[in-house]
Amino acid sequence: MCNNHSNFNRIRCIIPPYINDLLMENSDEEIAKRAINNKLQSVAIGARREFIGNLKLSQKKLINFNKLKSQKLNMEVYDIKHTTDPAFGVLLWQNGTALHRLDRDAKNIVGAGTGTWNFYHDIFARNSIDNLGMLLKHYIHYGNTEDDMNNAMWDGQQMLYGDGDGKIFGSFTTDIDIIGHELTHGITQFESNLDYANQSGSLNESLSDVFGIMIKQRMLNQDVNQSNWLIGENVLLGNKYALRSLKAPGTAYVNHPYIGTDPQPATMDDFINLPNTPQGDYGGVHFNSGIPNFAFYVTAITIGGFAWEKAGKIWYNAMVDKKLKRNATFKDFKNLTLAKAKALYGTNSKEYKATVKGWKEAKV
Amino acid sequence: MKIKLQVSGGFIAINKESVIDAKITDTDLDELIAAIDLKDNSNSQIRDGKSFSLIVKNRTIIIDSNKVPEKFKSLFEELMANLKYQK
Repeated sequence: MCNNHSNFNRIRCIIPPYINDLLMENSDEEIAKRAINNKLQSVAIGARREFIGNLKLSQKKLINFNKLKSQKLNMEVYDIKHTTDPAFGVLLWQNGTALHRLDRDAKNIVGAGTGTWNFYHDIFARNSIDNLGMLLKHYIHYGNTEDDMNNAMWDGQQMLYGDGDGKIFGSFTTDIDIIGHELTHGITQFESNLDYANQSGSLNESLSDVFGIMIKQRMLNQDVNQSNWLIGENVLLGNKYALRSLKAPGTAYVNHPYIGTDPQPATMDDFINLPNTPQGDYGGVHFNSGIPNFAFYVTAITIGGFAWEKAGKIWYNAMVDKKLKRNATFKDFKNLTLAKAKALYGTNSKEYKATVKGWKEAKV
Repeated sequence: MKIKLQVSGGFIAINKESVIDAKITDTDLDELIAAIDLKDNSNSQIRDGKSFSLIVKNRTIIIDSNKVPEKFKSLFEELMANLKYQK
C-alpha cells in the first residue's frame, strides 16, 4: 500500500491499519487527528460517507477537509425547451464549459448551482447531493403551461425551473435561495429521506429553506443582521412580495391580488392542521415549515456572525444524523439539534443556549 | 356532468380550481379516469411538485395531466383555461 502512494505519508506507511484505527481513539488530539485523516485518505470516495458518518462528533471535528480538495463540482445545465420531459433537454453548460450561448437563466443556474455545491463542500465537506460526487443536473425553461412554468422543483433526480408567467411570477432561476432549496431536497432524500407529509414533511421543507437562505447569505457575504431572511424575494413579482420569511413567517406577501396572504405560522400556537392530500399540501408541509424556520432564525440571530458557521453547523449535523427518522416530528429534530449543540459547544455555551431559545420562541 | 379540476402545491402551496359542465357519458368518464388516474404516488420523491386532481361525482382522482387521451384534450384545455386562484 505504501509504495503505491505518490504522496508519501510517514504515519500511514509505518503504522499498520489496525493500529491506526486504535490511534483514532487516542486522548492526544494531535495523534487522533493524524490517524483520522490518514484513514480518510486511504478509504475510497464511495466509503467516505459511511466512514465520516460513523465517527464520533469529537472525531469529526478533527477532519482536515483540505485533504478532500480533489473533489470537484460535477454539474450540467440543460434547456428543456418548454417541455416537461428531460429527454428533450439540450446540454448548455458542463463543468465550466459553455456548449451554447448562455441566457440569463442559464447564467443564474451556473452561478447559484456552483455556489450551492461550494457551500456544502467548503463548509461541511460534502461532495454533492449524495456525498459521493453525484452529477447535478439543472433544467431551465421547464413546462409549457402556466402551472408548470410557475414553479421550481426537485423530481427525485434533478432540478427543474420554470420561466414564470411574467404576470405573477418571474423566472424561478432569479433567486439563489430557490436553487439552494431544491438541491437541498436532494440531500434530504439521500440522508434521512424525511416523509413528505405532516411534521416530517414540514421539516423537509424547512431544511431546504434554512440551507437555501444560508447559501444565499454566503454567496452575498451577508451576516445574520445583513440578511433579510426572505426566500424568493425576486420570483414573486412586485417589490413588496417574497415567497417566505424565516424572520417573520406569515409576512412574506400580504393581500397579494392573486394569492392572498402568506399563511405560514411562526409558532406551534398557530400550527395549521390540514389533510394529508395534495389539496391539503400533504398536511401543510409548506405552511408549518414556518415553525422550524423561525426556530433556526432565532438561533442564528442570537448567536450572531455568519449563520453557516455555528447555527448552520448545528442544523447540518442534525440533518445528516442517522438518528433522524423518516417520520421525525419537530420535537425530534429539536432534540437532535440540542444534542449537536451540546456536543459541539457544550451546555454552557452561547450556541447551546441560542438553540434552546430558538425552539422555545417557536414554542416547540 | 360537473367536472372540477384542482391544481395544488408547488414551491408555495397554491390551489387553483376550475369547474365546467361537460357533456360526457359515464362510459367516457370511466375511460378518461382509467387513462389518467395516477393511482399510487406514495413513493414519489418529487418535492415542490404540482398535483392535478379531477373531482367528479364526489370522487377525487389524482391524475397525470400528461396522459389525457386525444378525445378529451379539448375538455382539459377548457378546464385549464378556466383555472382560478383560491386565496
